[in-house]
Amino acid sequence: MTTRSRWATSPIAQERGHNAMSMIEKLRALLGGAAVKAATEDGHESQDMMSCEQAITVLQEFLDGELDQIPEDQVRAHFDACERCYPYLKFEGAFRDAVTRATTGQTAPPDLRAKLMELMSQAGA
Amino acid sequence: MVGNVTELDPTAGSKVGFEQEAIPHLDAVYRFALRLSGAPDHAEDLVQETFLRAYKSWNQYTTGTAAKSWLFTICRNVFLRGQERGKRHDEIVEENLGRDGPGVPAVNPIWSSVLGADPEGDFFESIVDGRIVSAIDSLPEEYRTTVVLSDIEGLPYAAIAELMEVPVGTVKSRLFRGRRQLQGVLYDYAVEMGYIADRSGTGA
Repeated sequence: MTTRSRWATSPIAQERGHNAMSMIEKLRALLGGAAVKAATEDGHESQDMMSCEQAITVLQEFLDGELDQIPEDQVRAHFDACERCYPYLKFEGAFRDAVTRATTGQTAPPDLRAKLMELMSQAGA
Repeated sequence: MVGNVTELDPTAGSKVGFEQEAIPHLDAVYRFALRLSGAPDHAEDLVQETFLRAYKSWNQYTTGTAAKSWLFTICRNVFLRGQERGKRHDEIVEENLGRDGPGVPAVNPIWSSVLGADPEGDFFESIVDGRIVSAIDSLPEEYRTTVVLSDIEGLPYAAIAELMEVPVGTVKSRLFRGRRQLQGVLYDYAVEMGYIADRSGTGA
């Protein structure tokens, strides 16, 4: 699904004469955060790989589940592969987790529901 | 609560509907009211007023639409009307920039502050609930409401836009700015408390 796994299996890459060594180098480059540069060497792969700038631009939408133009898989693939961008994803995630954790325990006081019921029966319908 | 619903009583059915569709959102509405007003007493009043109004206009509510959003809308309107009659009024200066999109640089400036010491934001975990809550409460209402509806209540952009009667671009902008402001407050607190080791100056 991701560009990384496509690279490992793509018959096209092999047809083009990439030997085993260059594949390993490519993979290392992908894992090492130079993903974008490595991928753009090959026009065929570059269309699937987004730049760091693009990834950062859509980071909030990605975390909000509100991407409207770029497939989620593609964004996820970038953050999985890019050492430089990955911490940003983690940072924003840690922030959201903290906000959620701090507020989820809050519930209405037990007697509020009873008060509401009483209020409504007084109000009639 | 209501035992026998007779078909002859047209109001009985609606009351049951209200209990089934609106009351389950009591906790969410209370949480929202609490963040709007910042005080439990005030929040309770706000919730009571919200549910009373919702109940009275229940016949205008279309079954199947988002009852939660509808209740939030009423709650915020009640709150804002109360604000106009006195109390504090938050001013937001950013929006006269007239930009429709997020209008915020995509690169979060705080990322560079934490780069050497805590790039993945582990410090957030060390901050106690109460401190995070009071940081949320310190945001201007427009930011606070947007962040609460998105990050706590999980509403989509479109629902927030409808609820606040602003374009989706404004929701994004408020969300971006609100989150950054909140992160800034929490970051300052974490530094003050020593949760973040200040290694930024050493080039580590």
